[in-house]
Amino acid sequence: MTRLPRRTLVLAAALLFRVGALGAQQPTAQPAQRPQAPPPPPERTLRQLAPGILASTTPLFATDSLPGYHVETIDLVMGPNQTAERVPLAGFVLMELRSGAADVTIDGRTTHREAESQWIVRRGARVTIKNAAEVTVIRATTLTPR
Amino acid sequence: MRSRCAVLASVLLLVVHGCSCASKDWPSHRYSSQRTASQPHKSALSNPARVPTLHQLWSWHPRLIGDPDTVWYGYGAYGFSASPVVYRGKVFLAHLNGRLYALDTSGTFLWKYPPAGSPSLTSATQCNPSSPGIASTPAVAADVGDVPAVIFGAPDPASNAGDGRLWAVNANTGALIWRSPVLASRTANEQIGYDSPVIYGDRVYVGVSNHCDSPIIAGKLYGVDLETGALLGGFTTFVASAIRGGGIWSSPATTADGDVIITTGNGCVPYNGGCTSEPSPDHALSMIRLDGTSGAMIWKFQPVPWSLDDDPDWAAVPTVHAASCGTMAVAPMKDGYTHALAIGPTSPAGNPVTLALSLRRWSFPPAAIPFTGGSHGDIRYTRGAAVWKDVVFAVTGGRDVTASVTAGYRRLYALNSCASDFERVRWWLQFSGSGSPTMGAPSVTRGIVYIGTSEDTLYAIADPDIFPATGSQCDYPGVSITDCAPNGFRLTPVPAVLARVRLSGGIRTTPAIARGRVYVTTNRGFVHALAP
Repeated sequence: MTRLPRRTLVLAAALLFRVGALGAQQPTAQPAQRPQAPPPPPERTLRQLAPGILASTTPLFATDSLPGYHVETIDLVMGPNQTAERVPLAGFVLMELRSGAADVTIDGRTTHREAESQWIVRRGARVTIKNAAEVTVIRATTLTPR
Repeated sequence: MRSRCAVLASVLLLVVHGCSCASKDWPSHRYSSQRTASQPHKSALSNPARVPTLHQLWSWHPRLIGDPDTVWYGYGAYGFSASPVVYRGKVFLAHLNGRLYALDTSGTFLWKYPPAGSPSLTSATQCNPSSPGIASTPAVAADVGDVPAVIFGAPDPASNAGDGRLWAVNANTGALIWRSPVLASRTANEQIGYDSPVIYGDRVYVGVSNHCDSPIIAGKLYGVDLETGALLGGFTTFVASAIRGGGIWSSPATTADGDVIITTGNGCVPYNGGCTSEPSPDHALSMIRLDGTSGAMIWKFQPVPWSLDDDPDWAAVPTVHAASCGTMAVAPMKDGYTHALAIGPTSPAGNPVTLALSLRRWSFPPAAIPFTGGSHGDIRYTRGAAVWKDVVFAVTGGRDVTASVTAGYRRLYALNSCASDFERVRWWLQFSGSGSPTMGAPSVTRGIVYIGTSEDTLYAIADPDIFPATGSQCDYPGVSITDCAPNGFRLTPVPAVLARVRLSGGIRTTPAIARGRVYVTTNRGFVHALAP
């Protein structure tokens, strides 16, 4: 288990909360009088991040409002039968598997991840992801020191 | 012997009551009792060479005869929530102002029910467009007491300021033939709302939901006698929950042998009905097959368990899809997933839940069912699917629904019903605009899809089997052509848009395709007739 500084853990918790809010586009559970869901966001496009893995062309969310860190959220998408041997990542990364399933190897240790699983990748770690479903979507929030 | 008798009985019923299954008209919600939204007969609307000249022939709105075009529903004003139906030279329109209108196919007003001077069929309860007047599409029966009849659900202002009933009026004159007993008690917060009655032989089925889940009530499916409106003998009213939940917001469909397919809304949870544990039984959030004679449940498919119920009502009408690989019931769910189940056996066989899971043919996007996680909320994928050959046309979340739950609002998907998950996407098309969702419900005639948008526009789109595609794109939205195949995805054709016509208002309804014309209702309270 990688030990993280307390400050990073606090930031991570705050960001997990924030990422959750980002993903929760649907209205909260309220009676039907509530406003309908918001208009669709601009069409998302994906680019090849590395062989076997695609990433959002533009961040879903980015901010420099946290002291000392640049924060950015993107989606990582893997198609059928794809493996990304080395996923290029900057900074600490909070990952949430939004759909599908994947075998995620971080510095040689492999963990099978299912939907809604969340984990942290420390800065500089070597990450390999093998898609274990039809399509796997991972939402990744990076914290890069400024 | 039993099956032979059943076939003979079916044929006889069709002869007696008229056949809507191959009608050149559009006599019920989404064309037929199977809710296929598919007009099989050739016309100019199915001819890709002629469709580009699609234009408006006429429009009509209630203010022309002194009635309101829109009505206040508590949070806004709205016109038509119901789609047109067309039968033997007449267009029937149910309006939220509480009137049923009949026009001839040249747009001339013929009659309205209730007639001038009589109170409209409105409810004192207002909460959303399902509540104030007639929110659901009528159905036409060929022969009720020797006359064609329009059957519809509506509030009765003379009964508790809006108890819900079924009504049958003479399609030729607008005279009342019968009213059913009260089926939806306003005191109990029940309503018929968006649910359109379905006719099979001498039976009419209609579902009951509630006003805005405040509080939620137990959904019900009633069967009434087509000739009299009396409750059917021998048919046990289906009740979706032991306490509350499972309102029927969609419309029932029937199978070829007369069973009933329904989809049910969300369950009773702490915020809508005070349930702190799951009621037992709980038939909420399910697609269900009921025996059409007895009302007994044959199977129940409940993909979202009570613990994940964030209000993903199953609000889309189920479509009975006779594909080459078998007959299926298909419906998008509000959370953006679309599910297809084999129709299966004709009588109860074991546990309805286990049976339904064994009958599942596919889900789009692919998913393990029942869900154990993920987002299953009120994401508004409420439009029923249209079917043609082995293709399902649907406004649904798509393969990227978990990454962007609302991205499908602006997309129409064509899904290969008989293919593998990998080849499920036949094509998809992105539209401009906003709205939740942007798209209305699709109709199709011989491969040309008609669909409206919240941006007041009716589109005609040609499946690439009948008109050349305009290009290709990755089946996973957002992935470039270059990156598509290397990442394990497929290139799919981009279908041609043959026509787009601006109309009076937003279109959340189903275009009705009959005898070479397409009829469309809008939220501004207009009906438009168009033809090439």
